[in-house]
Amino acid sequence: MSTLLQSDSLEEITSIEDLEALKRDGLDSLYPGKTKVLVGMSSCGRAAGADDVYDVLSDELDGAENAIVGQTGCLGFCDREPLVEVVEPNGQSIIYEEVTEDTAERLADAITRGDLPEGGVLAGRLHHEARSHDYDVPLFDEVPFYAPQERVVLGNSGLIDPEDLGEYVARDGFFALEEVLSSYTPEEVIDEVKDSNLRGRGGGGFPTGQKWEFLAGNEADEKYLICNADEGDPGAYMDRTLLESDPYSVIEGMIIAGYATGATHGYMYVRAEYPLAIDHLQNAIETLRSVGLLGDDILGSGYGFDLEIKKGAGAFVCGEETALMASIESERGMPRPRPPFPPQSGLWGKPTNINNVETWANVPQIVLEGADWFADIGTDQSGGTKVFSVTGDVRNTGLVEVPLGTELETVVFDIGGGTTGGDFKAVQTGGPSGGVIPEEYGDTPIDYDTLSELGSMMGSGGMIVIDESTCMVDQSRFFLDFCVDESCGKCPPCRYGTKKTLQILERITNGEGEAEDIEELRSLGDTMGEASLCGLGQTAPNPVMSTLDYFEQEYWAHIEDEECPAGDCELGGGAHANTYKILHDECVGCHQCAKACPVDAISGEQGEVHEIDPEACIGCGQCVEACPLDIIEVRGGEA
Amino acid sequence: MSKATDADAELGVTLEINGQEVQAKQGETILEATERTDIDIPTLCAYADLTNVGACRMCLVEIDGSRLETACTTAVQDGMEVEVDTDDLWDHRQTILELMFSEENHYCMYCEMEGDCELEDMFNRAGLDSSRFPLEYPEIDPDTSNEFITMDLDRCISCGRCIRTCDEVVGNDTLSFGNRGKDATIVADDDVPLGESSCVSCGACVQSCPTGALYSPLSAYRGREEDCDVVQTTCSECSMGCELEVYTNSGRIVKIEGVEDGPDGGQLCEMGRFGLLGDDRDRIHEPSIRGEGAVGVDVATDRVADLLEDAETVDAVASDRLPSETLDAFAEAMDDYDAAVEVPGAGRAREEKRIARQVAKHFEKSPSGLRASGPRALLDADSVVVFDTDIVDTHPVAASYVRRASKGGATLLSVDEDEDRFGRKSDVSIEAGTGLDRVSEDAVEVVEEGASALSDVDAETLMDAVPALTSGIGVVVLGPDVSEDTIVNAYALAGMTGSKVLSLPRQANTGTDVGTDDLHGSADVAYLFAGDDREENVDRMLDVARGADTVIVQATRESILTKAADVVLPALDWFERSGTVTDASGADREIARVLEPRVAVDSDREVLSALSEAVEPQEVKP
Ligand SMILES: Cc1cc2nc3c(=O)[nH]c(=O)nc-3n(C[C@H](O)[C@H](O)[C@H](O)COP(=O)(O)O)c2cc1C
Ligand code: SF4
Ligand code: SF4
Ligand code: SF4
Ligand code: SF4
Ligand code: SF4
Ligand code: FES
Ligand code: FES
Repeated sequence: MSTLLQSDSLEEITSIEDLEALKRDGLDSLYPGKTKVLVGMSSCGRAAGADDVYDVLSDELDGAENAIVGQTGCLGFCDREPLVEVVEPNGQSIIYEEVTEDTAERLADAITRGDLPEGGVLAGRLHHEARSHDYDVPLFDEVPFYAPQERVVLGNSGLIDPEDLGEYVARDGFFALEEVLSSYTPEEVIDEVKDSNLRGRGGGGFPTGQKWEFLAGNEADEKYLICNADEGDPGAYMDRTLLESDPYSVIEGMIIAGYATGATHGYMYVRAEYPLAIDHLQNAIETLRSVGLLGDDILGSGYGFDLEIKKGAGAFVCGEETALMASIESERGMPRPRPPFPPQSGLWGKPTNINNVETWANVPQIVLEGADWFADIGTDQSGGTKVFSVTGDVRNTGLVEVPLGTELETVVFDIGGGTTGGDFKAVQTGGPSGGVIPEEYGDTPIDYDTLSELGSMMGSGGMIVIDESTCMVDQSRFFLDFCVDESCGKCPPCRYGTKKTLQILERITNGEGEAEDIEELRSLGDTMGEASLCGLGQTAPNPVMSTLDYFEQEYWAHIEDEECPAGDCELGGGAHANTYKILHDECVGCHQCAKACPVDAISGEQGEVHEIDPEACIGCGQCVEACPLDIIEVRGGEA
Repeated sequence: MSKATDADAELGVTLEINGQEVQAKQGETILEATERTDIDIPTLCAYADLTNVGACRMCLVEIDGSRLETACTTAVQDGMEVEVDTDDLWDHRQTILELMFSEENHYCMYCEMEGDCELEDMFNRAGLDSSRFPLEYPEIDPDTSNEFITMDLDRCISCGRCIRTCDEVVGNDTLSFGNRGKDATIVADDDVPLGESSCVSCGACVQSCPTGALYSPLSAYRGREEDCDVVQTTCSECSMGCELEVYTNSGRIVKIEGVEDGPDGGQLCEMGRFGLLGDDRDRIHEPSIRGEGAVGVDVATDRVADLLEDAETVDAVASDRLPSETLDAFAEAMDDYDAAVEVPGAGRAREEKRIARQVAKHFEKSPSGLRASGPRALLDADSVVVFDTDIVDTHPVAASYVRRASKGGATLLSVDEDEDRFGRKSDVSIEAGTGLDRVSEDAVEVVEEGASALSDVDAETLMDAVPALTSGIGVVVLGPDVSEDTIVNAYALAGMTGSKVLSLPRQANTGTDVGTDDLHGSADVAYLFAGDDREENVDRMLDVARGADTVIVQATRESILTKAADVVLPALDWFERSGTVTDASGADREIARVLEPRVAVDSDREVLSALSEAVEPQEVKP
């Protein structure tokens, strides 16, 4: 990557003066006095072809006097990737959407000429001193997708080069740490975080300052901090994006917490399926070590902290904190009973605090801007914003950051641009642990407690918009299917309860449901919820229980009238009928299925696990025939 | 409400369980607190001293009217109100049991554990007569690859007791969970058949399994526990002296279990648990004389007395597995005939005593101060040095303590001529004949030449090899096949580093002080009391038999030794004997008669005293 500053040329940073010097360098890199072409190159961009676009732009602009090409992270509008932002020296910019190699070539031409096209534009932006825009494009803040958003944790995403420490520092990175080390006592840091009303973004929403206080209050020869980047919920990718786009902010948050709690060692538990995030983190850690921002005596404070990355094998249950710690200890990733809670006895029996990626990333902002500022953004109960990955039956999908307290409808209609296949029916939050909130509660302000009261939960940030074309029973079936695969098997209510529940749901969506099924689902859900050991089993019935609460009539329609009102599931013969699924655990990557598929709905490299795109699949069954291992199943029925 | 005693008051925490006031200790779990009461919290995955994992969810209790927690993992708190038997709780338990009934094979009628199964009891307690759910357990073929242990995993409830037993009690780490979710199961090593795994067939997991998922085919369908008589006795197969709980039904031994809170922690080895169940050598029921066939006991003892009396020289050897009382009677009888008496293995004890005395004197300690209190001392050790890792075979339970110590963080240093049987559990493996050689030579000098030679001991070499011994509690283990040099070496090492020696000789009963004479080598008559012994002792006796003109054998079962004998006298089997043995730590353990003998003699000592009486009359008679 063409970064102006290579990490190995960085000098040690031991004082605020050093930091300020690096900030000046970073600003030069961010705004180099010529046109800067930024390609969004986190996973979503790359999947859409950003690599090729980057290559074209670099080739075309190679040796150009007036322009330089750089990489950045995710701008949130993942639907419209690849995104390329062209920042002119005066600070005005244009963000182009769905850039192809062709348009990239033309764009390069235009840049050389110094005259930017006004077509294919997502938005214009104003950087540093720029006050007005010469081009006739809607400004970032005026685009409906972005207007209601407030980018606190995503502030650097899509702007800085995630591999460039200088650019992070240019955005005031590590000034929060410097401030804390030079003028806060540990207690003051904790008070600041408590006052900010920051709550855990990993799902449970426990007040973060309070958790830190527990850890600080426990004396031990060693204490640990953990960053939970397991992110196993299907469809969720907030944490991946954040780590890919702005890894330094997460690390800075952890160092600050280390100082506040007396922990000196940290682990980043990242799922192995996130190679780019791991790369960027690894680069960040090494860079910080080389400049002395990790290691002994950070910024001359006498305080030392270091970090290492642990790769998780991608089990959902390993996101549960006790299972995660077992996994770091090289034990099988099975949850352990709590109490004792991690701050009493965590990793290797030592006091430990574990927070989510997004939780950590908020911390530097709280220090820089103040607890009151942060608290004001959110509701009385929770400060700040929340990042959601918005998917489902909605026009605009992508990563969305809104102040807590924003109404659900704002996300669905203003940001999401409304539904795609019928009237708005519900929003599903919290993924496999959450539930649905029906349309009549669309004006609910998004917050931990409001969502729980309605039988769902905040979760880590998955938000699926559901319209009338989606079957609620099928929706539950999808999540239960997930939980059956992901249950660790330690406790019987979850191990067998998920399987039995799934069977009943499959029966119902196949048109073979019976009247007793409803009662049985509730009874099983009750026992799983109350008697399971960990959060996975305890919350696994939520999708069923909440759809039963709000959409019981849909279940009855399947059972008694043998019809699917949404015309969706197996019974309804709709979009989700007859879709095919590859058993991931067993796939050897022979590529036979992909070759057999007439519509190219199957992706996967030779030797790697293959995947069927349900949207593209036409249900012809060719792949089932082709698979030599017989591991492709028809959803909701027998293959 | 029970009256609070002074002892109760000292417990410190008061809580209410099922409306009853219960006193508990700080840090104790709710389940532990109920153990002093008559409140019975249902459990399946909690077992003995194993770590509690909260897996089965049976012990869920309602705390303070709101939250549900597992009693096996939740600590008591002052003022806590706990309900164990609410309808809600039993509804949950019942649903969970129904799920298990549907997803696992619990058709009790065809199960070996029927009647002794904790799960079956739980079904009954929960009033489960049928399941709402269809039966759809997967058929899993039983793993019969281990001749002593069958794994029938479609009856497994994934409680993990076997895994934790193998890990925490046996220190063997053979078992673990494989697969996830509904497919979670127990696997040995990397999912190999048990018989091909690292399993040492100790059977501890069988004892801890609450269901019929792990059982021994040797005990299958021989009777439920309630139909059995149980006798507690001591294993005399090695010097560990493990306590045995022997279950018998209609004069047959059904199974042998360890005594959970016994001095050896409820463990046994393959020999103690399974080997003793099946000795397939033919039993000797009555005396016989070569050329004459079976004869009466009186005829045989008279003949033996005559043979002994006529002999110029008699060599007498007795098994060191016999009770001390029997060995004393043997020594006495043989003394009456001026026999040279040997108990194989007793020589080692004598030699060791001498060395210990000298080393102790040198370090100004008492010899007993150099000896470990017993094998359990290993569990508290910070460092362990093992000379001769064959204890894995000869003293398997002691070996399990070594492994546990190593797993618990103790430094383990093994010295062996061959393969280090502790493998990767050892921190340092030294091939005997290399590392500690010099030390050994120098140490021998210390003992042989007295204190003056100490300066020659290359203490540094030793310290380099075992720095850990000098810090914390050190235990030096002496296995069965060690040279005199090694014994010296071990004691010197212990003396220098302030460690203790745990000696594990082959000799099972270490308590006897008889039988250390030098044999003639080619005597007129050899009297060989083999009992039910096999292997080493029998080999030694064969040696002696070869040198003798006439051979008399007192034995339980037929062997090459009895085939070589001129007169054979019947002897009791291990489960018919009574008396005392002394274990490796010097403690006396009781041998109790489990079954009445069904042979021509009622006791071995009766035969021996008949021999004594046969000489005495002439002298005592007026
Ligand atoms: C099944 C399960 C999966 C979880 N997965 C994640 C995850 O991927 N990321 C995460 O941050 N928290 C996850 N959690 C929550 C964590 O256990 C823990 O509460 C969280 O990391 C605490 O961080 P926070 O206080 O910053 O939210 C999961 C919990 C459960 C029960
Ligand atoms: S609830 Fe499920 S995932 Fe959690 S411990 Fe039990 S079986 Fe494992
Ligand atoms: S394991 Fe227990 S419950 Fe299961 S079949 Fe055997 S006896 Fe019955
Ligand atoms: S028999 Fe002993 S060694 Fe073998 S698996 Fe069971 S507990 Fe482990
Ligand atoms: S084999 Fe027995 S002890 Fe082991 S998990 Fe299964 S039921 Fe429990
Ligand atoms: S270790 Fe020794 S005493 Fe214990 S059961 Fe095994 S043979 Fe018997
Ligand atoms: S690990 Fe499960 S959520 Fe439990
Ligand atoms: S006994 Fe407590 S959960 Fe099994």
